[in-house]
Amino acid sequence: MSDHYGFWRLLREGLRGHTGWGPAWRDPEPKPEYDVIIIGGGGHGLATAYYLAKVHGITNVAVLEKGYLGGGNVGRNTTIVRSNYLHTGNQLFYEKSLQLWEGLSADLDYNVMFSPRSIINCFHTDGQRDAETRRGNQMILHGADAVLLDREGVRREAPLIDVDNPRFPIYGGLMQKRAGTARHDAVAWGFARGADRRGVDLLQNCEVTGIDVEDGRVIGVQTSRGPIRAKKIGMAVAGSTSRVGALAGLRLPIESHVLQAFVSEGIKPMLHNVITFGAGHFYISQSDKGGLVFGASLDGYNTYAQRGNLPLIEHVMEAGVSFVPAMSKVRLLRSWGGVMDMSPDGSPIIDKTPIEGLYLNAGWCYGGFKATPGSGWCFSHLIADKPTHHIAQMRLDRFKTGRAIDELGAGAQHNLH
Amino acid sequence: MLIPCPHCGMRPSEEFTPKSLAEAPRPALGGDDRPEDDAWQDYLHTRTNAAGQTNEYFHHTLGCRQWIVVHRNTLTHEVAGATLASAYWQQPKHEQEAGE
Repeated sequence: MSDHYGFWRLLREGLRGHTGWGPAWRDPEPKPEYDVIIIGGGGHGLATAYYLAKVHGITNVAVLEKGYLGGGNVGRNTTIVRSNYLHTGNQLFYEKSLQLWEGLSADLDYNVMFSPRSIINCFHTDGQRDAETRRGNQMILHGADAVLLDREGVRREAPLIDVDNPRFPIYGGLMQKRAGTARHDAVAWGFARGADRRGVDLLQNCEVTGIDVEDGRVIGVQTSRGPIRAKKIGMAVAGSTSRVGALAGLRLPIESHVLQAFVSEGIKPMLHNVITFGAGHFYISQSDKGGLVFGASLDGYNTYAQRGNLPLIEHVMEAGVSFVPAMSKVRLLRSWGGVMDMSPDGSPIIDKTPIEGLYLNAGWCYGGFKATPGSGWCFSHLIADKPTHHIAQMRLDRFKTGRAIDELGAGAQHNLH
Repeated sequence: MLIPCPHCGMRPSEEFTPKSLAEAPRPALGGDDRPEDDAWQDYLHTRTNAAGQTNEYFHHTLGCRQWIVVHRNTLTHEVAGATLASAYWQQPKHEQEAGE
């Protein structure tokens, strides 16, 4: 019997007392050489390896992970999946990614619990309504879906939102019905299992300590488990991009900031969408376990500490209670911080680097989770010398050429995006 | 986190607005550097972004409203010192790096 995860397998293992489940992936020893090395065993790195093997037939691949698989930002985000961007450079990519999400559980043979429960971005002024209408039209022009809700529409969808807030009355909301949430760990594990089954070596506890460059091209890496050679190396280490890039002598347009996220105690269903507050940066959804999952802005200063500050927690709670007054009765269970790869325009980079054979996947700011399948898909195409149009504008040199993809129009300042 | 403002003394970080890492000076306006040249790119976009000692612009928004450069450790959040931004780039390189 195959190791397919399905009803008959579950029945069989259930009858045998669940003694027949093996590990979901191997724990191989590093080989001296691979065709492709992916640095970073998070969502994006594992997805890249998976699509390299599945789509391009490149299976002599190693994923090098300093810690354990999925232990970085894919394991510490607010799990929102959407494709509601204004600019072509982003929307083409994120819509591709959302389409991959829609078939991901079947494709991976692993339940990633993608739940298209919709996202609503509330607006509170006439100007915001115009901006959201424009964004919705852009989404539709790029093949995505969008609906403009009026005030009663928002009230119908989410009765516990304070639609009649006297200071920030809600005029309506931009809704994407196909958006939603997914189980973050399952995404990493599903891609890991899928890549492993196709022959990819997943090497954990394998820290890259050096990138070997000869005559302007990569020849391999030094790791805590010995040197490994490869002519193509992809970096997917958002959160540590500057540090790993420095090993190859790269200086990149990235600053590292902390973003906090929060979970409340589990309560009965009260919110079935993902909803964002337009009068302050605040987003909230309810997990399948019942906890309210929410977050807001960056703390603001540069940090690698994975630790947020208390003033921002106070700010987030204020925004939350303004938006969903019932939240004031709920106890906060925990909060945590993750290191964000902030780019100067708030958009990611998937591109070649000036070093031949070294590929860069970085700058995800705080939108990396929804991008996981799309990022892996596009990065694998780039590494296989078949770049796709989805990432045509996500170039490393766009800050020099003046072609920034500045979704917020906030200008060249990393911590404003 | 407390930040030692050169004008106001020790103040809580909520009074300040962080801007970005101060890794390169702003090129002179009207100079020969074009936007795509390294001088402007280093000022606006490109960063070493070290995990450890860094220098970073903060605006004392709820205080003296001056721009300062704070010398801080990005792994521990330990603050070693702060200089007025107007004076910072006049300092010799080693003093900038030491956060004096």
